[in-house]
Amino acid sequence: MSRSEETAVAPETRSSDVAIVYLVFALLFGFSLFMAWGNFQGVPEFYAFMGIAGATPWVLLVAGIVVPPVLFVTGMAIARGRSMMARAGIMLAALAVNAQISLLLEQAARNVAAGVLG
Amino acid sequence: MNDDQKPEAESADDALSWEGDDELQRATSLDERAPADDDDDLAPRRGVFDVVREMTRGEKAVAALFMVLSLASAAGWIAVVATNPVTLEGTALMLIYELGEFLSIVGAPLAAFTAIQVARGRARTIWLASQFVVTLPWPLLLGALI
Repeated sequence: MSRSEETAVAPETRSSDVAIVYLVFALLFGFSLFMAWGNFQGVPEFYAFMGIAGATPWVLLVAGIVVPPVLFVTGMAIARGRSMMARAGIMLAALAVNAQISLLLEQAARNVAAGVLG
Repeated sequence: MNDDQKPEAESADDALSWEGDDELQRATSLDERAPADDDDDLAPRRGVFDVVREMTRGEKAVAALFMVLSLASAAGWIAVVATNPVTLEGTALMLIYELGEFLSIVGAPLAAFTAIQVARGRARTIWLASQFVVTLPWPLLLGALI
């Protein structure tokens, strides 16, 4: 459905409702960012403690911080001008992709550590 | 004899009906039919399956294919989550982490469903293909490489 058609179908969409939906998803994406920030601080310390500070996966740690806000903004851009349910669905799909990427980065970091430690 | 009984039968019918019943019944049937007819004053309420009904046969086949593929991706993500060794201290943290794992599993079908509902025509196919690539169980596929 084109955006103009969907807007015509859902004239009851209010900006306050949209703000609430985005606020809920901002909290969820924010929590993901908080976890990534915790990894960014904790993982290098762990690698240093293990004596493999040189192998710290900085790229993965930085990616973990960058991905949640990028996906949140991308989701908002895709959802812009659509009906409320479409917006919520798109943001939920973006959150799911964020969770998948987080798991991918975690596994990659584990594999780096396992590879270095033998 | 018959002439005597006829008025009684008519009077019995009269007792079970009222003047204007026909008009009332006609009006009711019109009211019931109204929502199904085109009503320009009201915005149409679209159901989940309205999108599917509007698809061509080819579009339905493409959508069904990507839905099946997304379910296969979900199965892959179940394997990823099942082998994930991470445990966090604190029930709340673990609960939210497991919510993330659950979202990872349902992510592919959810994205496919959203693409089918939101996009149209060629854009729908592009979105379905894009979401399929993005939501593949990459930890499983790249496990040996990373």
